[in-house]
Amino acid sequence: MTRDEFCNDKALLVSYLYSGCDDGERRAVEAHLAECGACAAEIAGLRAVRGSLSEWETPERLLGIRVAAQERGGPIAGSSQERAPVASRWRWTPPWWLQTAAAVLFFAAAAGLAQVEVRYGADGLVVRTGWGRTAPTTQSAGTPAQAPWRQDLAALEQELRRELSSATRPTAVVATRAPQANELNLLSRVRDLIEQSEQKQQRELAIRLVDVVRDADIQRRADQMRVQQTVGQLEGQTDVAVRQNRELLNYLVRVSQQR
Amino acid sequence: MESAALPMAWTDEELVARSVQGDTESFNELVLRWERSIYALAYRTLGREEDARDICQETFLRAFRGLSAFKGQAKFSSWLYRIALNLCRDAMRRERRTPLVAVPEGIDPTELAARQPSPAPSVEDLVARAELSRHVASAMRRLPEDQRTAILLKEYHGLTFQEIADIMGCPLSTAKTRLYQGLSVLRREFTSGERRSAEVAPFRRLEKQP
Repeated sequence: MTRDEFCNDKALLVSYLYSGCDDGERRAVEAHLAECGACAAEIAGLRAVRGSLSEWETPERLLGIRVAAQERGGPIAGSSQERAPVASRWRWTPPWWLQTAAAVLFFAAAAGLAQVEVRYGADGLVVRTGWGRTAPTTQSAGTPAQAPWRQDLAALEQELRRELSSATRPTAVVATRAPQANELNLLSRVRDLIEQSEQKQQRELAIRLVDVVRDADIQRRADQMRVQQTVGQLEGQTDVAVRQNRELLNYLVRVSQQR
Repeated sequence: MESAALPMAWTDEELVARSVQGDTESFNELVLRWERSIYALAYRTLGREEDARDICQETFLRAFRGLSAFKGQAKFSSWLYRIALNLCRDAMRRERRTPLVAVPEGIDPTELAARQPSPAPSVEDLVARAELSRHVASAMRRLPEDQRTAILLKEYHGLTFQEIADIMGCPLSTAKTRLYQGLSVLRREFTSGERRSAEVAPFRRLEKQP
């Protein structure tokens, strides 16, 4: 075998590296290595790689897998220690759409508790307060006779009037009627007023809602930027730590080689 | 079938023969002999303990079911390795298809140190070893599958070149070439990493002064 043939015969080199040569081959390779610096360096480098590979440890674990015979049919294979690998494997972060859905659900539940109804239909975003809905039913349940609630009702009427008159766009059409009417009239007037008040509150709530959503969005963006900055910094720090560890390792290796 | 007093001295082939006849205890003896190897192979191939555990379990289940098809044309262990490697390949393909990002399992030095109550190895030593281990693992993971498998089977399982060729279904010379190519890639990678860190090493030592 010529010198070049030796240099190019990587299969032989690998056999030699793993002591897989017979005596004749081994002697021939060693003779070649004595005179060929490139191949000698290569063998030394590959030996060093093998040294590094030997440092790759795996977790020492006895799984305790056992096969138990069944009366009929196939075997049962199982680990006696743990049957949870499949479950533990699916530790996952909910996707963004699920997180959004959860947030909407939470908001809806909170709105339900607060007796606020938010509906999105053909007529756009509709916000209803629970207060407006329950009030008329309690009023109509009463008797038309003289009752203590009449005074309350009248007071409510006054209050609503005051409130509506202070609104920027007064819509109190019903308010022009004469106050001396019968109870049914009074009742319907109050209902109308309640309706108007409810509409006003709806408008206000809608405006507030838009404000809240906008604020939340701004806050979210700010947070996102902050998180990105922090992650960037952390990545930088981690890289530095990894590099330092590697340097330390190399230093130790050199020291151990010197000894 | 009498299965009492399973002698450790029985060969794999004898245990296989008894297992084929329905002696599950013989098969369990085979499991006991080989589960660490199969687990280590799967762990080094996939890099995750949970996956390695699943592959290990599935390998023995398939082996048990397919015992009658095993004709003894290869060593039982080679047959097991091949089943496990095929399962690993399937798992890697599935992972590539799934959009989920698998976080590679690095070795946590603090955890490693906490697990070792004896004061024998210093924390620095542990960190260095863990770092090297992690470094090797990530370099191996970047290798082409054929080269990695050849290295794994030779380096950590001590198989002969012929056995590796049989498991990988390639000629003997190809098995050796793959091994050589893989080692050469690692050699380049390790030496370039050393050179990079040697350049900054003096500063590092200065920093260490108290």
